[in-house]
Amino acid sequence: MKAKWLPISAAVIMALGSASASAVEFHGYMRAGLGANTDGGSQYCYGTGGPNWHTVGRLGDECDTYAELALSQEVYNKASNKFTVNTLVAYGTTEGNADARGNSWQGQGEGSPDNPWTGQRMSFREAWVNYQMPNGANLWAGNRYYGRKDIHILDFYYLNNSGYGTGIENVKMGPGNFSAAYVQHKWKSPKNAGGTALESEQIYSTAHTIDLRYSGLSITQDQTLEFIALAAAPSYSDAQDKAIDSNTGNVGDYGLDKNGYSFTVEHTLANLFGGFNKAALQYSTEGYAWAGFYSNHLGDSYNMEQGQKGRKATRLIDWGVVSFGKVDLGYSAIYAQLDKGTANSDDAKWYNIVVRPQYNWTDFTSTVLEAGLFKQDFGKDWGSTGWTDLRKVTIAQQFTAGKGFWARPSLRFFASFYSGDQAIDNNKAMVGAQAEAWW
Amino acid sequence: MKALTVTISFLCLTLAGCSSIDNLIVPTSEYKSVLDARERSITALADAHPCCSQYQQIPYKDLPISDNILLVIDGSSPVYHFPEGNSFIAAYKLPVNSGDLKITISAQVDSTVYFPAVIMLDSQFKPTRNIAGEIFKYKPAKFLDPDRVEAVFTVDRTQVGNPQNESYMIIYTPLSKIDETTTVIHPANLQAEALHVDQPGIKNPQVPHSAWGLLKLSVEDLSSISGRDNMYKPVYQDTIDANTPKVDPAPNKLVISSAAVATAGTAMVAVPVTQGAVQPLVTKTPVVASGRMLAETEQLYNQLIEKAVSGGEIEKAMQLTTEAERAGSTSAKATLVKAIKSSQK
Repeated sequence: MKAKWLPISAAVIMALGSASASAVEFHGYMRAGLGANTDGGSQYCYGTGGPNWHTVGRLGDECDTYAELALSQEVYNKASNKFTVNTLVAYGTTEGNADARGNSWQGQGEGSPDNPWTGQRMSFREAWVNYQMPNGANLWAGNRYYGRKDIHILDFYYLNNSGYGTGIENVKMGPGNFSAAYVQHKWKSPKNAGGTALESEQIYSTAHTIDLRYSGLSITQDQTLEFIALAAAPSYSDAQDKAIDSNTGNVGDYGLDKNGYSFTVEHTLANLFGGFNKAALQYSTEGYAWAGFYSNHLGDSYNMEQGQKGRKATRLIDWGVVSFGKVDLGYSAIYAQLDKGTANSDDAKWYNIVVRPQYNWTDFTSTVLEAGLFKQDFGKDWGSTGWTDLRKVTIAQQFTAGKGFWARPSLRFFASFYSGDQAIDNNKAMVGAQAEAWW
Repeated sequence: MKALTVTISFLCLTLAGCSSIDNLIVPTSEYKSVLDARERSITALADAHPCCSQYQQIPYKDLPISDNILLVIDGSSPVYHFPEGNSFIAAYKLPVNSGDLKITISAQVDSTVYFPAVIMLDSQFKPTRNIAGEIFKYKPAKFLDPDRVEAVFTVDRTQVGNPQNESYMIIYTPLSKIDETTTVIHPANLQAEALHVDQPGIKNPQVPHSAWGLLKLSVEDLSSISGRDNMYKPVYQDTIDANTPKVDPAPNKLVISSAAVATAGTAMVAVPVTQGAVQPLVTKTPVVASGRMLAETEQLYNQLIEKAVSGGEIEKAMQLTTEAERAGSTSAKATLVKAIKSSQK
């Protein structure tokens, strides 16, 4: 026989091949692009992914670069006991309405974006371990994204209790699942009257928060309810207590000595025109009230400014994504009202409606229209002269890998037109290109 | 469609830098008539006549080594009757002169999916493996890969010329699978997973299985990979056709050529004649001469025998004689007798 057999080599190959039993799970997100103001210069945006969010929709209104790289690895799995290590690193340009996307080399940790070669940011946003027990419940600790509820077309997180914490998730209880977490949130740094640190033992002010959730309660085959309660209690050191009592330094920034609560009830309709609808009612008090009224990311911190005292916010949200043949439709409507908790004050109010219909020409191309209306009246005592508005219409041509609203990666070429009382002169028409992907 | 591909390719070149969009995207829209025709495919299967009754009779197409083979299984595909029932099939003859093969079979999930199974056959059309059940799995869309039902497996090519090497591959769908559905993760739920946000709660769609479908095959010759992953490359000499192997049907046995057997037979006939002549002097061990020995060696043995006798070592002289005869000497005994006689003088 002329064949040369190499059984040892073959055995080595097989051993090497079977070594990687569980691969690293790689998830992530990115968006990047450019825009031009038709009146000259680069793009201006009316919202960001942060507290000053996209009230008239995010399409053609994003002036930043942002990316998340998430790596997870199951490191142990025996007798239904699983340990998973999770990490996520985020990169971004400096947040703001003005375009802070600089040049190809834009260094990180190199100061402000006042020149185009510096001012990018990075954050280690998730580092946590999950222990899945044989009964399916998960015990976790570390720094993580927790219970984030996001309206995609607004980049608006109406609930987001992320941060450093520990908890137990998905414990079967009755017809649904119960989760409980303790998450610690930090607030501004206490200072002496002279601006120096109040004490060397504490850098920030601190709040303890508890997050209780009961999810998956079925009403009908396609309808479920979820109940969420957040509770926060400021926790001051002796030095901080004394400073608050004697009203010295910047106690206005952190001295809210009030527990706050935030309740959310969410109804999910899981089968509506090939999509879904979610309706949520939220009620938030004290340090949760501002984020529960207007701001993005309710729950990712507890606002301990003394000015938050007595506030109560109510918010109604309805959003979803549905599909009619070649047309997909993302939509969102929010109404919110704030009781300021001060004498002789008017309630602050706002609402918005954003729709994003998309016509899918082929598996790879679509035309997207996003129309948004935002109206606010924060009350005479806050200087409001009545309802003011912001309107936006964006039209975009998209190329996507696959068909439909959720298809990504996406390359889009857009034109955005702003109008209304809040639109800024010479900043009303933008054109640009953007890439967005998740995986 | 072509203009679109060109446009996308252009955009890729100018904006994203991806090389060949054709390799990345499966043209499901071009095959809508196949993918949307579940009922028609089932009727067609019920009415179809099997092409053949044995694996040997199936028309096999050569399977190229390529990472982008589009396979449409529809009414024009052959039908074969498996123990599980009839199925529209695709049948391939695997590359023979290659390294180990890594084969990826991806059935595209659209409004329906052809849930595949595979039978591998050796060069004699005997089944070696049935790749089915748990091995074909639903894989959710990621990056530029769409939703698909996929299996990856390797074909061993380390034993060149072994007739049991897998040589044919038949892709089919078990009849019972056609009544089942595959749960596909809704893209809204995939987005939630990617961004670490709460699941929107939408139900994951159930995609029915069909007798027809669109598949993408990738066949990789592992010996062509350079780099760390390629630890071993099989070595080839002459081309050996797996169908006409030059392999002994009963291996691990000493093989004696017919020519050698003939020579040995002649020698065995000759031996008793020699033995009979010197009967009293030789041991009773049968002596088998396997042929003529060289004159020089015969001479050498004779000298040794004479020397032994003259030295008085009769026992040794007799052993040398036996040995010489076994090696084919015809003069050893005569030399021994002559030497003994002369020593007695």
